[in-house]
Amino acid sequence: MKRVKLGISAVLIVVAACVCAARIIYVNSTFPAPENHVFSVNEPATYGGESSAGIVLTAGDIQITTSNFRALDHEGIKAAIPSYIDPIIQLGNATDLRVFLVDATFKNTTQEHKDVTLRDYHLTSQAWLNGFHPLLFENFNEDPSTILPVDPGSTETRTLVFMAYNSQINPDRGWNNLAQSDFSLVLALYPDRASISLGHPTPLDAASLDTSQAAASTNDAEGSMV
Amino acid sequence: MIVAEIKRALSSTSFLIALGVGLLFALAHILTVAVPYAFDPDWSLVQAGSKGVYPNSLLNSWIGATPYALSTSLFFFALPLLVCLPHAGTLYTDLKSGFISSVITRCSIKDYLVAKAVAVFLSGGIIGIAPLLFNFLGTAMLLPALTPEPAAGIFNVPPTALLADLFYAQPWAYLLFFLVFDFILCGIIACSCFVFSFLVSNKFVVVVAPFLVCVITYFALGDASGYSPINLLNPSQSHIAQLIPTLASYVIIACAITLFVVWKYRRFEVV
Repeated sequence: MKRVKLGISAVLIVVAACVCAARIIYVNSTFPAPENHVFSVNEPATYGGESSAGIVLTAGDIQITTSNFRALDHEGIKAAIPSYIDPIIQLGNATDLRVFLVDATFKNTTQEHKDVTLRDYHLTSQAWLNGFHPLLFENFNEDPSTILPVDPGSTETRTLVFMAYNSQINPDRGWNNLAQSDFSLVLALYPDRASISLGHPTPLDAASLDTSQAAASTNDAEGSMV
Repeated sequence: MIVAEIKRALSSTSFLIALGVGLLFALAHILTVAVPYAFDPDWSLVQAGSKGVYPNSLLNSWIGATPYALSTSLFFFALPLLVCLPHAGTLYTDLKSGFISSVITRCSIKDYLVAKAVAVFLSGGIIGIAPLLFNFLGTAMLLPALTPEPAAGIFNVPPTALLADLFYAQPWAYLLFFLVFDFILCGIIACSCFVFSFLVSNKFVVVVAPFLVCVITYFALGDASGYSPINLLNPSQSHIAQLIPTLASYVIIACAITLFVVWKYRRFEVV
């Protein structure tokens, strides 16, 4: 009797395991993992999909080529934009920051006008990420629009701006090690993931920064929001 | 002795009650979080990559990844109490009832203590991770196991969390670490009742004391509250903790519990 009970239990366990496995396989087949497309600096990158603004791009419509990846520390950004007061630091939620600048050229390869949603781009480094910084973007670009219009066959160049705070990093990783880490510019996530591997940023001091554009809108920088 | 003590721990009614309560939390989480994610009609848009949104998946929807869910908060707050319910108070009752005196006529006090510690540790560990495994399996049957993506902004392991970089690079290694860590931590919490068995003279207080210590450390430690068991048991910790201080502090606590019990029982043996 005991052996029969044991046998029935074993059969039930095996059946339950098979049902669970079949269900897990089914669920994963209906939501396939995104294909990962990784590009490098100076290599034209493309991506497709719908942006947060509802603009649909087909892969190949726009070619994005990144050239310079630089990092600016807190003193550097204060020197470049003297009126800039960072609200996160002012509120005491962080004590230090880094500004990352990525020069990107957008080429429209089609015969139609295309819009690119810049605010969907993210800068990541392992677990760390931050989104596009619209206010500092205004300071580093003449055109502050975060939806970039690109005419057929033409190219547009923008400096993309991202911010990192020391309160965003686990002490195990070390804030001072962040600037020596590898970074990626993530362009799209799903159904296909596209990113540009940027490597380490080049440290930049304010003296070598072209602040002609930055100076244009310094009055707007105070009381900025992130 | 060890086998008998483990059988006593795992077949007790209080063990089944504690396990049942833990599994109820896990089931409630599946019904309130994973089921809506899986069967919401908006999912058809998300699956098509609408507005570039990354779909909800197993690793952002199971009980160890949803700190915003009520069932998650209740489960991880109740866990230090649940792990102590089944067997952790039996040292106190053995001591008070005089049962221990009859036991040490048949085996050494060392054998008795080792058997008791193993049984309490195992019962605590099982109650800690069985609901997690049940919830993980249940959620896996509803949602896909997509790779965690930091840029998606939907994974509740922030860059400030313990081993956050490992989560995005090797999510299965991260999960395995936390399951093993939770098992050990629940075992340590359950074994901490041994200390209170000598310090207080009420079984209810002996069983509840570790839970109170966990709650007090969570709310009273300020910046160090990341090292509270309530924060560390949850894989998506809401407070910052570092790996080496975490491991070192719990090794020290485990050693302190062992030394305290050994010291007390050496005196008991002499008497």
